[in-house]
Amino acid sequence: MGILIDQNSCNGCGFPESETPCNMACPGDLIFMQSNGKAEICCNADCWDCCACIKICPQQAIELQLPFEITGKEGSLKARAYREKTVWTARDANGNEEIFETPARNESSLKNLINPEEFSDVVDSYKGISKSFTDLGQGI
Amino acid sequence: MSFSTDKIKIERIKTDFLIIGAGAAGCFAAYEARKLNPDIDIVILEKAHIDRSGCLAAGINAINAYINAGQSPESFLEYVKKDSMDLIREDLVYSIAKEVNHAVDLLEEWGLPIPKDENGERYARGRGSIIVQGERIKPIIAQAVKSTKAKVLNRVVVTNLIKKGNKILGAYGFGVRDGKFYIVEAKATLVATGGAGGIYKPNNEGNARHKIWYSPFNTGAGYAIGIRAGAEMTTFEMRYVSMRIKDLMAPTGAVAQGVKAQQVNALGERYLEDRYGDLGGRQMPTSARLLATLQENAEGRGPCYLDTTHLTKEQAERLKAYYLHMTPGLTLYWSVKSTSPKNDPPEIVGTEPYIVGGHAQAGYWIDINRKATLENLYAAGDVAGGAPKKYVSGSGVEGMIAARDINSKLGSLNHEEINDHEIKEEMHRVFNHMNKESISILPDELELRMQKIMDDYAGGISSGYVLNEQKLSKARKYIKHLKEDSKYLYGNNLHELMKCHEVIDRLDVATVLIEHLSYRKETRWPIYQSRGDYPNRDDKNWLKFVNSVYDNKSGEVKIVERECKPVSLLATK
Repeated sequence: MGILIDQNSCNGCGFPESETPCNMACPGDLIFMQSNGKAEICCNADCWDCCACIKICPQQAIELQLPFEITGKEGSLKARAYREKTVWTARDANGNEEIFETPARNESSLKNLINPEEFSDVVDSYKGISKSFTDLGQGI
Repeated sequence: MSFSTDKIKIERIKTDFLIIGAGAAGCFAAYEARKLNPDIDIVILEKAHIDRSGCLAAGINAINAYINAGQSPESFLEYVKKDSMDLIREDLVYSIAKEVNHAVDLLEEWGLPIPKDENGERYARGRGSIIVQGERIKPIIAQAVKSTKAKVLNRVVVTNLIKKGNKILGAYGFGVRDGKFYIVEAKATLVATGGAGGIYKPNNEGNARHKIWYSPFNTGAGYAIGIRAGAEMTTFEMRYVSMRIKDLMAPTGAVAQGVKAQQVNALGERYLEDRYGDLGGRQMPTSARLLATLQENAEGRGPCYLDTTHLTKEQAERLKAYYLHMTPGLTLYWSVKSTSPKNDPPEIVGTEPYIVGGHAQAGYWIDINRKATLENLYAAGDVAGGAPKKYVSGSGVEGMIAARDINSKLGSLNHEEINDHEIKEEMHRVFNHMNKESISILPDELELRMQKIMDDYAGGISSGYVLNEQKLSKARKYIKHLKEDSKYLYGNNLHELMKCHEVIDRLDVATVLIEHLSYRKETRWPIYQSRGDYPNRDDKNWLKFVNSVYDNKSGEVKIVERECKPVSLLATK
């Protein structure tokens, strides 16, 4: 396992009209949009556990799960990126939760240089194309 | 053949300065180039998205090339030289050492949180390392690049450099989201990608196969494009094998240096001091600490741990949270087991070998300005050779050094006409793998075969990292067969097409690597390069660089020896 995308919580973030944050963030190009408009991971074994998609998901629909072969137990990690901090919730097999906060960024000297609208790293303004499962089958 | 490239849309771009890879090296290069020249046109090609790509996607919790109080660029150079068994490019390492603190100052200016003590000093984690709270480091660096108005093309996989005679004219690539073929013509090109993981069989298998230390998406493209273009490469034989926390393969620095945890064996003995004083005890080189750990396991005193049982409950909790900045899976690992480092100290093991220039020194042979051996081509960061232990800050420095040289020469550089026939050929080479042949091999299948060959015959984990000529000749033979078979690689969509090229790139890296490993007939860097048939270090014959130039037509690797020139900096100072 790598990530689990809760199909009930995922609202597709306006796909196909706009780029979806999880699809944008994945460094491995692993997240795709299904024909029902919801996100899914194409190959969990390829996931690096970097949590980029988890932190950026506005619905908090994604969680990290470790492979059973490594832990022998279930559990999950969720996270939410705010501008100054990231808040994490780790859950063990019995449902006990631990909450952590990590500082994320300080004020930047660059703030006067660039358009403030470009300044959100929670959901950045990538104008690319989200890839859908239909694309997957078509090839070129 | 039914396949035609006519349907592929072509995107043609002209720029002054092409940067391949938007990691630390590439981003600092863009920033520096813009700072020096408001008019320079910059294009960055990035395989993922600049906000969360490569090694830094998850974040980092320390910066490991830094000059702390009491240290100096000279002492940094001495340390790197000693840790790398005296064979380094001193000129390159010293030029990095002089500017790593400047790179860190920039990161802080851009918004990276760096905690400080009551005197305003950054917290030293080790002699050349500081603590940072770097979960957001990649978006922070990306924003600095956005402020430069460089044109960032995300999701473009670079497939080859454009070459004319001895000159590099830019690069080819394809869009993994838009399916376009990209031709970027540039006056100067900087290769700044990550190194190569995934060449050897990893520690974990199946669903856990990507629980590896290095980014599994760094697949050696930056090396491969240079190899195929005939750029001279250096010291691939100094592989990097790291001691990591078992299962999640998380870095150990936060534990070993951060909370001063000692290495202990199953009997609770501090084996480095007790049994390996001849390797230098606790002062031994990085690779020797792993060598001693493997030896303890071989002699039946494993598993070995980083002893964190002395921590207070609060310290252990802090350590657990600290990993959220870099390897969040490890925090979850402790949480899932309802435990903490205090009562479940991390077990330590060795990773599979990686080919990287940021920790070890595999990469392009470059001059002091980071110019490679081909005209108008530069390399910085993980793909630049000769300067180990540069890490994030040193990679940034190399990017800035390259950008300065490129900017100063820009007036004398020009675009040149590209041969249409070569464009057609490259398009065919790139997209042909979407054409299903009667025989087809999936990229995952070929990857597993490559990793098995390298593990079995080129010093992987299963052979205790030990090499010999007989095994290497088998590796050479089987990798050559596999390269021939790679023409049958089939990807039925753009993501799979990318994976086809990732395997092709790694096969080219493996081909060169095997020749380097075979040529060096001594053991210079135990574990990284351990020869069973030449077990001793031999300074008389081998205190020199092993370099290579690949001939893409014949598939031959030509080895060239280069002198190791100590720049007696300390003497002249």
